[in-house]
Amino acid sequence: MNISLKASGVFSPKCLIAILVLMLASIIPILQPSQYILHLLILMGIYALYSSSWNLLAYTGQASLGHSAFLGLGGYTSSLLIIKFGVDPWLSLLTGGASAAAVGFLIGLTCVRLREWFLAMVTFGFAVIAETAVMALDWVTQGATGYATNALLDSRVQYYYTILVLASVTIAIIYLVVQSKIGLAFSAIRENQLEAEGMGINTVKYKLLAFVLSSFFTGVAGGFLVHYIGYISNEIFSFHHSFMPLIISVTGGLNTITGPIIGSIIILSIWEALKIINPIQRMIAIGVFLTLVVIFMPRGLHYVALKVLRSLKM
Amino acid sequence: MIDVVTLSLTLMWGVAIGCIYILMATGLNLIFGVMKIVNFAHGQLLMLGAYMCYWSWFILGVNPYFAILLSMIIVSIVGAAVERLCFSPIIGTSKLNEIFVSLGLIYIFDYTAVMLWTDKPRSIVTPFEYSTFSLGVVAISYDWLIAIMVVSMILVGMFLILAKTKIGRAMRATSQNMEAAMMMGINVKKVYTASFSLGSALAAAAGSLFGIIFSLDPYMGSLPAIKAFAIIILGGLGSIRGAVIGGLLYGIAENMATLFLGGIWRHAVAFAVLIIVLTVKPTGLFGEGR
Repeated sequence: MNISLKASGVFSPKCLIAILVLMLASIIPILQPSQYILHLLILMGIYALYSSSWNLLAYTGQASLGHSAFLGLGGYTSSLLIIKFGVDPWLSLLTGGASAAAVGFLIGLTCVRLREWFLAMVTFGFAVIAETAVMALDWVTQGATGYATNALLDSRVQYYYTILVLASVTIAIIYLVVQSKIGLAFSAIRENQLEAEGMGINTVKYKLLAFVLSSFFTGVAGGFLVHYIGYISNEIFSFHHSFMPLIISVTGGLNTITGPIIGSIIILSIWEALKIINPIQRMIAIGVFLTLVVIFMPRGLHYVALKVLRSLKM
Repeated sequence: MIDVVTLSLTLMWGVAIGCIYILMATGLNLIFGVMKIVNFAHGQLLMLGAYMCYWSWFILGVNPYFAILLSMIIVSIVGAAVERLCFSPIIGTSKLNEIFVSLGLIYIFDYTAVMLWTDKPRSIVTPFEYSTFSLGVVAISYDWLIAIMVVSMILVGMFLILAKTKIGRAMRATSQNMEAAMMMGINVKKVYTASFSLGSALAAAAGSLFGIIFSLDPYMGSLPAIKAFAIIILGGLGSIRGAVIGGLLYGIAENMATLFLGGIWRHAVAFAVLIIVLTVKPTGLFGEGR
């Protein structure tokens, strides 16, 4: 085995690859891409952030089908704080995340004790309840009509660099969490909850922690998303928004750091490429794609890439 | 003010829609009991069933209640194909994979239906559409009564299949202990396909009745399916009796909530109840811990 693989710290291969990718990503705007490409890249960044947060929860074996609830909560909190109270935009992003995390903590109290199917149901239902609440509070949220949000930045290049930093920092934090003792506990719970409990791991505590962290980052992603799009309505709670991070993470590789990043690049590219067919066929295609990935490539592109890399070394 | 007539009508609506939920919940429970998987795309089979009933009625001109039978046969074949192609390869890998595959199926079914039949709502008109009979001050539609009868007949039929036929016995054996059933020479794969197919047929019947009582569109499946999940969670996973009682109670409760709280709360109340119950008892009201 290659010795350098065992090296740790800044000079480990993983870290070098990450730095290389970041450097490549940061020179993209210098190449003067079109506004459309830049828009796509920003969306990829937002989705990488969103899917990584979703995936953090999946590390503990909890697959949420209602993450759009946290996305929407973050979006509404952050945009309303700016519009109604004139809060500093960057502070509002954090507050949006914090409010999502608070709600995530409350809903997590129920969810952490549930089995996979029940959890999927409850989270899914929670997104429906969140949407209903927003519709019922239409005197402040303007329900289905929605309202325009304030722009955080002036140009797309600025948005691009901001989301690049935001996503990288978040993913780095998630990486550190996953590499730590907490991450080991997460994996133990995912593999076998009973055994994990037997080893003295407080499963409720760790699952709840995953819930809070995941909903916090999702809230931040939601705030950024609505400020970037410049508009928010109840549409943000749609099923599609909940399923997107799932499709991205499964395609890229569940329970990996790189999975959601690869996934969001691939899925959003496919999504854009499919624009040539009509939107309905696009939805069918994404369904077929997800089904095929789960059946034939359940460990995702991350694993396929690793396999290819290994065979190259041989 | 809410008077007796409104209240009794709401109750009747509740029972009628409760019947649909019973069929859904029973089908899901059957599939879960035997295969230990939860098919999140069950509502899409309901939608398909409704369309099959619609087209049998529309093109062949048969009585809608006879069309239910045709729809059940077609959807049970589709269900068998879905089980063979999508669930069979991943069974036993990870519970999350089952959820993911069903999500893929939801996309495929919903949007194929939109593509083929557009998302225009349609309705099935029965010969008894406008005939009612009065019960005291309340006028009750014959359709609701027939729906309740149809559901009872289907449930009795299903019980007979489970109790008397060879495949029914094999299903019960597999649900109790898959390995032991295998050793007794039961072809477990065949049993899986058969139970999925039977569950799909029940969903098709539910969809047809839904189309007859209300209307049908490609997205009609999701909410009844979710409510059926809520019901089996309340009634206990794998308990058919729980599904029947839970379905009726749920249908009534939902319509009462709409009456007293207003339309937008119709669906949210369902989940609120679900979340509260699961907070208090994570395995469901009558479910056993596993």
